[in-house]
Amino acid sequence: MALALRAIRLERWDEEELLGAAWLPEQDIVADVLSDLHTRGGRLSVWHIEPDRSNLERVLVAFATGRDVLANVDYILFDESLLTTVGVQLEQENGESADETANREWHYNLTGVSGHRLAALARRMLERGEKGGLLKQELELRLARACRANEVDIAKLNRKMKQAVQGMLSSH
Amino acid sequence: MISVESETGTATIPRKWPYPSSPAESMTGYDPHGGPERPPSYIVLPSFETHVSWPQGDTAIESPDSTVPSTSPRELSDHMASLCRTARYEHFEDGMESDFSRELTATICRYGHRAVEVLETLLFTGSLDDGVSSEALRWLGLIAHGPSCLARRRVLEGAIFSTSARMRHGATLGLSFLNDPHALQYLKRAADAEAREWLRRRMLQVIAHLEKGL
Repeated sequence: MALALRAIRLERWDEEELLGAAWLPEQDIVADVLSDLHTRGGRLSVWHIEPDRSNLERVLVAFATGRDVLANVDYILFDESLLTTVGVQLEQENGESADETANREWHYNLTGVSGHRLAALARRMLERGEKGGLLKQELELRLARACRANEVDIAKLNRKMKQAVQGMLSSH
Repeated sequence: MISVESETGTATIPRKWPYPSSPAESMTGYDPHGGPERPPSYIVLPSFETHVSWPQGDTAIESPDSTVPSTSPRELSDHMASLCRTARYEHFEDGMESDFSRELTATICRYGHRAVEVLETLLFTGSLDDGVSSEALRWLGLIAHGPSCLARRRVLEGAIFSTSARMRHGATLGLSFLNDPHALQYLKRAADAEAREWLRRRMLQVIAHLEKGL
């Protein structure tokens, strides 16, 4: 079963906070979590993860290359079949990371994302998704490896990331 | 209350958040979660830098960088409080800078441990938004500023015992960024006491990483 990945800020996905409020209507979710699910024109960026998760680490590294500084990267992984239950579709669109292969092969948008569908999706992601993450140092090792393997185009990194990567490559 | 002894006198800071101030304190059986009672008096903070001081009144704080204008403790405190207040309206993402992180970094690089102490007071009095506190704790670990490193680590080691899950997570990440095995004893105690499974797993992840580096 194919999976979809969305990078999140882990602490915003605390079940106790999101589902435990006494005032919360049934089957709803506290809206704070939606700040991790920015949409543009009813589209939400996600990454496709193979059923055997063979591309998981590469996608996490690709995602991290679009950031300002090296830090942890946390994510929620969920079954793509969950998308049809909330009425949104998957559409391939090139990503903007420094890994061209990842951009081309694994970056998708969810389309047709309305407010109601987004809340329903967030609730299902929270209930059925799997959360995980890499620490900064774990990411550094993988990023250095990806740069050596020419999976990541260093020229596409911002200045601070580039400096960090060049430092890593000379030390790892 | 926390008592800080310095050449300029002794300052006391309201202490509303029970946490061990130093490894020595934590080794004496003080339990931040309500275990054995600690003596209800004052704690003398260890000197982490060549001079730990908390100037009284409006004595000017000399900036470590002589090109930066000096500012009084009150001005520094007001500046940081205002910075944290404004940050409530910012959206934070892991690995992304923000107006808040840039200004926090600049202030700590200018004023060193004094800025960290002001931030510590703001964090420990519980007057800040949880999300802002968590972001500040992450950046305490990310900032590359050697002279304030010990002060920053000490704040993070205390903050993993906060009553706020978001702050405990921010502090855990901050400690992972610092990458200093000194934090292990605190992280292990925090993980033992952690009720939220996702946060306990994160703490164990950081512990495993730090132990690998020993």
